[in-house]
Amino acid sequence: MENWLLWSVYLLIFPGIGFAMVVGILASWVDRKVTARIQFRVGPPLLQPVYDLVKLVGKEVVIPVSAQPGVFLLAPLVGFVAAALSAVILGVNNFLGQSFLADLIVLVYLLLIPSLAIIVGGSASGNPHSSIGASREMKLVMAYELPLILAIVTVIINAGFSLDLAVISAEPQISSISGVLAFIVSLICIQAKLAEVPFDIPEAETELMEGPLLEYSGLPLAIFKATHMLLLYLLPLYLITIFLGGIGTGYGIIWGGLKYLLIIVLIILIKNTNPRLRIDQAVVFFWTWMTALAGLAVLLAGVGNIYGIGWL
Amino acid sequence: MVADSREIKTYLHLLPAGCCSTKFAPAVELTLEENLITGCTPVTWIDYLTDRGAVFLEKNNEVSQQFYLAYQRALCKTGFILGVEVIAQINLPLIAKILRTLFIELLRMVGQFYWLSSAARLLEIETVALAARREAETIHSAANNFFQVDQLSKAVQPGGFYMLFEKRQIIELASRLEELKRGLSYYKNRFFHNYIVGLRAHKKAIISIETALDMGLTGPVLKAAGVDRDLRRGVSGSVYDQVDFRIPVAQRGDALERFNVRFEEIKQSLQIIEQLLEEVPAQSNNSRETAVFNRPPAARFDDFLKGYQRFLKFSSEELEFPGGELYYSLEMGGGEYGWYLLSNPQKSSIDCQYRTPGAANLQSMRYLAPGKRLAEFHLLFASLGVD
Repeated sequence: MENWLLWSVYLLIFPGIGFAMVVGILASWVDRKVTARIQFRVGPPLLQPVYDLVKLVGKEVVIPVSAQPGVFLLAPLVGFVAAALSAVILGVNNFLGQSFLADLIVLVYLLLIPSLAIIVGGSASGNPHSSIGASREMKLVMAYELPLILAIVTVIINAGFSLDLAVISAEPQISSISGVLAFIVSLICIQAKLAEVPFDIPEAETELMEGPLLEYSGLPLAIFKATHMLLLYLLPLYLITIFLGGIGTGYGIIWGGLKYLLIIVLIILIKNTNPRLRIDQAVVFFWTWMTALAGLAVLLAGVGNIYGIGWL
Repeated sequence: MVADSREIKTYLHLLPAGCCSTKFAPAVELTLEENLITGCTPVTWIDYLTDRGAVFLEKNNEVSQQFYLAYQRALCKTGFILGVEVIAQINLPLIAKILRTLFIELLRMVGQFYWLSSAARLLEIETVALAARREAETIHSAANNFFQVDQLSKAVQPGGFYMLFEKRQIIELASRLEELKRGLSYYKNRFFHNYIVGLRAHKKAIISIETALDMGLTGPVLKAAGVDRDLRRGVSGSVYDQVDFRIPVAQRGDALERFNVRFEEIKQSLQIIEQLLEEVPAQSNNSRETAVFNRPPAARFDDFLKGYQRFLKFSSEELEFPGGELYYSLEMGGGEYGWYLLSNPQKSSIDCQYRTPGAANLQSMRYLAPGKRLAEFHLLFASLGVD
């Protein structure tokens, strides 16, 4: 019973949904503020993301006549729950030092679900723009998942074929060449996972007017936005956990916070200095350059593992 | 300059197929994406692009809106007044011609930066979009200060410029443009030489010489396709024939070439303005030398929109107009702007209908868009411009 209560606290308060949402909202504010400063604007106040969410929650939910109401409304919820569960797994590992067998595999699956929720929700909304957006999201997921998985394989090899986050995050994986290559690949894949420029192809505001999210309003849209905020917290944390030795404890948390800020700012800078790619160009980019780079990382990690060369 | 009226009316016609040859029939089989595109008429395109922020009628930014409307008003008045001067046979003094040329080049620069802002927004480089819009507004303000007016359109009067130009004004404008020149590398790195822009635009959305000519496309589109045609060479009331500038002409006709032609034109405009500013101090010791008359002729200038078409009217008792009609054209940032003037000597007025190159570009979309992806279509639009 006590254990059950403890895990409920983990899930709902710390380091689960509550904590993740707070950091996600802060990350969203940092994103908007840094973007504004790059564009020589003042930017929003600290609580603007909260105001936006509250406003959306208060708005009417409109369901298009041509939509599949059940799937349309369930999709954002499924995405949010998956992101929340990922927050618990990553949070428990980073802040409480606990993990379970092969939690990395569970995490990889869970982090895929928000993208699938967008595909399902967009397809269920019955709008041609949303359908194109969902189709683009599908292609994008297929494009970036391959190099992302290869990057994870590199990390697994470097960590002595372990699938546990606790083992992987015990030491920084970027202390080897293969680790650095895998980190670069993962950083770029995460840009696509967040659907940020230059990979904001599914939402493409000027082309598809938010694409899969076009028909969403009110609470379901708020949930999608909240999921994106969660991902802004989760995906950099995921990179820190598997490549940079985790957040750390005690004073190490400050160092961990700096790592997190560095990744977030990198993502924002890439987003603000590049135009959007076309979907076919994105697929080619991920399946050639990124996959080749990730494949090289796997190869180097394998050679390093066989011959005991640590720096490879 | 004066053309056959039937030709003019065909040219001015804004509705689909107005100036396009019949060989560009729409494709029979259209995909879903293509249907989204080709289902639009030019008028719905304006709405479409306004919704996406690619046309600068931003509802939430009153200052920018005022700047853009003032620019549009100055633009449509400039060619009209130049046309009126041709009809009324007013021959400007040299300094007035220099200043008029300077004015046109400043307007061209404002237009180029508005285009850059629009193109960057269509390609989702919001940072460049905002910076370029601010640049356009900065040049606009600098021009306002130089010509000592609160609305740029007020600087254009029949007969020249009724003001005294002090050295301070010239130095201020020159230093502003020097800043702009130094800042061009920002736009070069972030947009014109950006790797992804190159990836998206190189050998994409190609418009051949024949297609461009058949569809009545002008300006950077024509130059990028390889046609060495620039209307500035023969503009009356200007000194383009006395300044040193190059007309950029490319070969491939793709979107990247169109971007590069625009960038080169910005640089050429800066070069022209530098040369003109050197001429101004020597010629403007006396304000009377800058205009034909001692004061601006009492005149009334009206412009109004009917649908998406702009109509202009100029009336003055002090000027004499012979009857007749005139097609006056100016090469601005986006290409050829046309003014069809119809003189009415009985009422001492001239009516005018105004054509922008954006209108021709818009109507060509239904022929250029089929077979292209939605993303490529946006690139096409960014490179054509919505001026």
